[in-house]
Amino acid sequence: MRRWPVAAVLVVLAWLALPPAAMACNGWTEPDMETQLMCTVCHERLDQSNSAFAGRVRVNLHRWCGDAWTADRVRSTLVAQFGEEILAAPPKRGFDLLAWVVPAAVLAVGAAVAMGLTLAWSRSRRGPPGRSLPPDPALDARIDADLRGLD
Amino acid sequence: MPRRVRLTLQAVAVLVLAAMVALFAQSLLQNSTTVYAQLKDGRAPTAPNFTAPALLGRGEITLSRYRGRVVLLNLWASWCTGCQAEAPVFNQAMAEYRSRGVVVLGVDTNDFVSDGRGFARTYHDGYPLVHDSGGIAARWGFGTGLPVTYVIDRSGVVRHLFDGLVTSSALASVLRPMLAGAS
Repeated sequence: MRRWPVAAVLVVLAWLALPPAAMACNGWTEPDMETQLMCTVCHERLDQSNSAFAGRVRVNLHRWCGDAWTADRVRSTLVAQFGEEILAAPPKRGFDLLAWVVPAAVLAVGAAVAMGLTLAWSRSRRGPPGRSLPPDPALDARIDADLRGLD
Repeated sequence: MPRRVRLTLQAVAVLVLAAMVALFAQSLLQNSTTVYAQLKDGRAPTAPNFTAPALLGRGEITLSRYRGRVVLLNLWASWCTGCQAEAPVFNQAMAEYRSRGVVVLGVDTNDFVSDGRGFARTYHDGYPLVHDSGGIAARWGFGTGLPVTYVIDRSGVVRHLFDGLVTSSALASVLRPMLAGAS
């Protein structure tokens, strides 16, 4: 019964520990958004850059977070201002398309190869199907005679 | 493995390889060397043309409209302290060399439009400015930061690069021989 005050304190502490951005933004956080963006001047990821350009982008991210912009709106606004170079993920066209296609293709081919190998292995474990010999009346008669002899 | 399956797999592998080579070639064509890199290699490339929205006011500005004049193409940004320091040099250059066929074209790059406009109203005076959304900087390039200024001669060839702050004396030492040669 006395546990509820402790639980309440823990909830309050957890709430206080949350970064302000996580609570304010419309489905995104400023630290997470920074990992998705590049400093187009120093060519480092924004969260790892201390350049003046990165500083300006951070100021605007904070403002847009306060204005409850969606993550898509933030990204599209930045792309309109700076081009796709601002995005940390490679664009889905040209040679950069391979960065998206190759991992999926490797997974698909790997899965197909694994499935093929598994099927081949399970077939080899079963062994070749048995062949039935043509009936031999002489052999049958001898076996019958032997069995009778046992009786 | 049956022969038909093997042939199909080989055909698929060849097609995938061909597609990768085609994508790579397209990428090479699109990302040809920047003007900055060519100048650093000692070459004098022809200025790649561009059209960009005017930073102040409406409409667009095209570089090729200044063919026949000496163009000082200055790449700057509002967050760049050096750009702030060199702005008076370009204002002075316009006043001093305009009548001799020199024009300054400022390119606000890697910058928010609103920041660029505020900066331009404070520091730039009397010469055209455009806003770059990534394309100009990608094609022209710059080193470790801004400002960068390219000097383009009357025939549209990029003759000189100021990699960093421009001073009046340095600008004069580049411009005077070019202007003397033309007169």
